[in-house]
Amino acid sequence: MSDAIRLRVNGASVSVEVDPLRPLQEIVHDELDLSSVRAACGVGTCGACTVLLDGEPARSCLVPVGLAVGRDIRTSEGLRDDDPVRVAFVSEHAYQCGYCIPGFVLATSSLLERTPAPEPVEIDAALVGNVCRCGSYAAIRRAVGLAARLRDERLEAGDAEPSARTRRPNPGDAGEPE
Amino acid sequence: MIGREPSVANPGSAEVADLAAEARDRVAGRIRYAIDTALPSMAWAALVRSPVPAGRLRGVDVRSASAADGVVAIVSGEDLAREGLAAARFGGLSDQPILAIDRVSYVGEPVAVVVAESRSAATAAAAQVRVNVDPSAPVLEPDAALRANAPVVREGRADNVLSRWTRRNGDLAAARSRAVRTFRDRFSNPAAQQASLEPHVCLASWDDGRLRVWSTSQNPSRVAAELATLFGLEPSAVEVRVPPLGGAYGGKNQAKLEPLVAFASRVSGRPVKLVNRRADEFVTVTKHPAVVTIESGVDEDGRFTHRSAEILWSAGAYALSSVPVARAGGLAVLGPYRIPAAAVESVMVYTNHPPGGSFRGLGVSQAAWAGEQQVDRIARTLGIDPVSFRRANLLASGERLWTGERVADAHWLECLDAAVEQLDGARRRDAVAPPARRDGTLRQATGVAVAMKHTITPARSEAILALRADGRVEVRTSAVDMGQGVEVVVARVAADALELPLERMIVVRPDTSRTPFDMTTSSSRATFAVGNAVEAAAADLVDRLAEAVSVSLGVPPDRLDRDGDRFVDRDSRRGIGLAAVAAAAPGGEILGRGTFVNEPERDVDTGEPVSSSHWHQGAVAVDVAVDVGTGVVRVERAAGAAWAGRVVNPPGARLQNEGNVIFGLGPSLFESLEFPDGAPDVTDLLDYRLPTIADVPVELATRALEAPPTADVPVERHGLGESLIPAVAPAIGNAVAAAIGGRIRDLPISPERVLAALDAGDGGDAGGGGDAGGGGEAGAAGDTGGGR
Repeated sequence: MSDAIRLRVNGASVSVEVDPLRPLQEIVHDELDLSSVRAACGVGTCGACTVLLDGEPARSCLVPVGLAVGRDIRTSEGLRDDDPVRVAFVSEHAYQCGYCIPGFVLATSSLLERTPAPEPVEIDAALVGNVCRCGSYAAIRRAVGLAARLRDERLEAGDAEPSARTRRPNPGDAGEPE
Repeated sequence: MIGREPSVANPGSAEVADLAAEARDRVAGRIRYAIDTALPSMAWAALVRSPVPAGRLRGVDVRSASAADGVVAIVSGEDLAREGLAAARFGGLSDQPILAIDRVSYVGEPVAVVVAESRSAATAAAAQVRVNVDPSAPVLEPDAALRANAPVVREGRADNVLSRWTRRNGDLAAARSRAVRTFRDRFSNPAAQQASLEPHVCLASWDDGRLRVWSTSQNPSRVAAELATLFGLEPSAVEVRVPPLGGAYGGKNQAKLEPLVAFASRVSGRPVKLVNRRADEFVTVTKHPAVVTIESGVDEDGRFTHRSAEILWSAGAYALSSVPVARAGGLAVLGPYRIPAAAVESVMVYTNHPPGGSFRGLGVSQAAWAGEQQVDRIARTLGIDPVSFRRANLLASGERLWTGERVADAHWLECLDAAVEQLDGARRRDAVAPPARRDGTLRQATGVAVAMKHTITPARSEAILALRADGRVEVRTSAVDMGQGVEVVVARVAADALELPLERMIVVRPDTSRTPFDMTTSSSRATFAVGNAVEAAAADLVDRLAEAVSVSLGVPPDRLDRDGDRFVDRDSRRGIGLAAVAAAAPGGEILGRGTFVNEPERDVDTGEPVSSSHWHQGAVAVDVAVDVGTGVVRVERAAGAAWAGRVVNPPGARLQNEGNVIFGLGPSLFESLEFPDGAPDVTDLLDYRLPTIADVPVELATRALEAPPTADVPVERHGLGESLIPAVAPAIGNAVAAAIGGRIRDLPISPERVLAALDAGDGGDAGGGGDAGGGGEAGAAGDTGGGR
C-alpha cells in the first residue's frame, strides 16, 4: 500500500510514494539517499538512526513515515561542515568506525540548543540513548565540551546566523533542495 | 542531495585522496559502508534458517513462496547438488557447506536463500518457505559433547573434539611438591555477540565469469581465495572490495555470507545483496563460551612454583576461528609470569550452537578472566598487595614465558606501574565523583589485571606504493578500515618512509583486483605487519626511482642525492623531479613493492619457534563502587597502559586504548548470550545491553607506552586493538572481590551474581585459609573436580 507522502527534510519539501507505515529511517536512507541515517538495531535502542523532529532527537526506525508528515525533519546532511558540533567531533577525533556518529552529532546539537553549557551528567543524560560500539565515549565527551565552547565563541562574536539545525521552517516556505 | 536514481551503481569510494576530508565525511555521515552499496538491476536476498539445533534436512518446500510477489529465485542445497557444489566446504577447517545440505547443525543455520525484487518481498517470501527436518538430539553443552555416547555434530568426525592444544614445560610433579599453598579455581565465560552497529552485509555479482563482491569482511584476500576455490575460479577472476566497516570487533573475520550470496547471484543471474537483520547477527557469529579450571602453587616467598589450566571451549557447529582461539587462550591463561613448571590443555569442541568466531581479545579475555582473578586471590590470601605480588612475578625482558620460550621485549611491569599511577592521578583529579554513601550501601575498592596476547605468527602482508605522474603516491594495501584508523596509519608510515608530505598519499581501499595480499585485519596486526610492508614498499620505490633517474641522467645511482621532491646528480647538480620520473615511466607510474612476514624467531637454546613474534601487553586498574542493596557495580575510575613501542597516530592510539576499556565493560558487566534449547535467548539490542556513555567513568586515563628512540635499534610498532581488553573483566572482578569479600566466577558480573555472592557471605580471599579444599572462597572452588 503506497501513498504519496510529502515530507520536509532539511528544509526542503520532497514527495515519496511509500507505505506510510514504513519506518522513517528506511525512507530517508533508502529512498532519499540520506546515508547518515543508519539502520542498526531497528528497535529504537541504539540511536544510529537519530533524526531531529521539530528539533528533538527521534529514533527514525520507530517513526512510521506517515507520522513525520508536517514536521521538520533534520538529518546530519542538513548541517554545515563548519557547524560547531561537527567541527568539534572532527577536531577531538570523536569517531572510530563512524557509523553511530551522525546520531551523536544531532543529539549533541539538540542538547546544546537546550543547554548551551552542559554539565558532564547532562551530557551523559542527553547521549545515553546513542550507542558507540567502538567505545569513543570519552572522546565524544571531549567533543561535546569543545562544541559548547565553539558555539559560545561564535555567539560572542556576533554570529547571529542561525544554523540549519535551529532554523524553524517559516509557514509556506517551500525551501530549496539541498 | 535528495532523490537519487535508484538504478545508479553506488559502490562507495575506492580510495581516500584526502584524509582530512575523510574525517569530516565520517563525522558528517557521508562515507559509504557496504550497507549503502547498490548495483543496477540488483535483487535482494533473505535467508531461510534452520528452526532446530540438529536434525536431518529432508528438503525445503518452496511452492507457496515461489509464487509470492517479486520472487526471483529460491536457492537451496538442492541447487548446490545440481551445480556440483554439494561437497564444497569453506571455513577455518573447511567444514562449512555453502548452504545446509543433508543436515542442520544449529538454530539459524542458512538453509535457503530467497532472492526477490525488494528486501521486504524477499523477507515475506522467506517466511513462507517450509523447512522439513527430522530433529535429532542436539549437543548443547561442551561437557556433553565429550561424553562417550554424544551425538557427533560434524559428519565424518570420530568425536566432537575440534582441536586440542596442549603444552607442558618443567617438572610439574616436583613443582607441586614444593608449593606451600595450592589454589584451584573454576571460572566461566558465556557466549557474547560482537554487535557491530553495521550488520554483516554482502553484495555479489557475476559478469562474464568474473565474481565481484562487496562485503563487510576483515580479510578480503582470504575471502577472495576461498570464493575462487569454492567456485572453481582462477584467483584473478574474483574481486572482493571492502568499504569502511561500521564496526567489526572480530565478528567480520572469516567468510560468512559471501559464499551463499555469490551462489544465489549465480543461480538467479542477478546481482544480489544481503543485509543481516539484527536477529540474524546473533546466529551468524558469537564469542566462544569457555570454562577454565586453573591451579597455581606458590612457595614461601610468594613466587609461583607452577601453574596449570584446562580450558573447555564451545565452538558451535563450524570452525570459524576456533582453532586459533583455543591456542590464543591456551597461551595466555597462565599469564606473563615466571612459572617454573606449567601445563595447559585447551580443548575446543563442536556443539549445536551458532559458530563461535573472533571477538575482540580472541580467546584471551576468557583466559584472563580466570588467570588474573586467581592471581588476585592468591595475593590476597597470602596477605600480599595484588600489585606487589604481580610485580614480584611478572616477566622481565629476556626471561622465559611458561612455555619455555624467551620473551625478548617484556613491558608488563611498566604497563602495570603506569596503570596504577594513572589511577592515583585520576583519584586526585576526581572532584566531581559523588562521595561514598555514608549508610554503608556502597562499597568501594580497587582492582588490577594484566594482559598478554599473541599476534598471528607467521602471517604475510603486502603493500604496493605507486608514484603517479601527478606526484601523488597511492598506498595500496588490503588492510580493512573498521574504525581503528588504519588508513591514517598506512598513509603516515608511507609518507614518513618516503619523506614526502602526508597530503600526497592516496589510500586505496581493499580491492583484491588492485590491492595486494594481506592475511587479515585482525589480531591487532595491521599497524605492525602492514606498516612494515608499507615501509618495505617505500624502500623499494625509492630504489626504483633512483634507478630510473640514474638511467635518465646517465649517472650511477650512488651519485644521486635525494633533495625533497627531486633526485639530483651530486656532481652536475642536474636533477629530475619525482613526478617527472613517474610520467616518463611505462603506464605513468612507478611501483614499489613490499612484503612482510613475521617469521617466528627460534629460541637460542631450544631451537623452537616462539609462539608469537611479539606480545600485546597491557594493564588495567579500576576503582569500582558496588551497591550492596541492588548489586549494581559501577566502574568509578579506570586507567590503562598498553605497550605501543612506537606510536604512529597519537589520537588513534588514544581511541584504541580508551575503546579497549569501554568495549571491555560490556562483557564484564552485561553481555551474555545463552542457548537454552539451541536458540539464542537474545535476538535484539533491547535485551542485549551494550555499554553506553553513562557506563563510562568520567575519569578514564590511558597511556600508550613508547620505547625511547635509539639510533641503532628499530622499535617495533605494536597494534593497540586488544592490548587492554582482556584485563578489563578481571580487573573489575578483582575490585568487586575486594569490595564485597566474595568473588564472582561467572561472567558477566551481574547484579544477581553480586547479590548472591553477598548472600553467600564467604570470608573472601583472605578469610578461611584459601588453600584448595580449605574454607572460604577456595572451598567454593573445591567442587570443580580439583583442577588437573
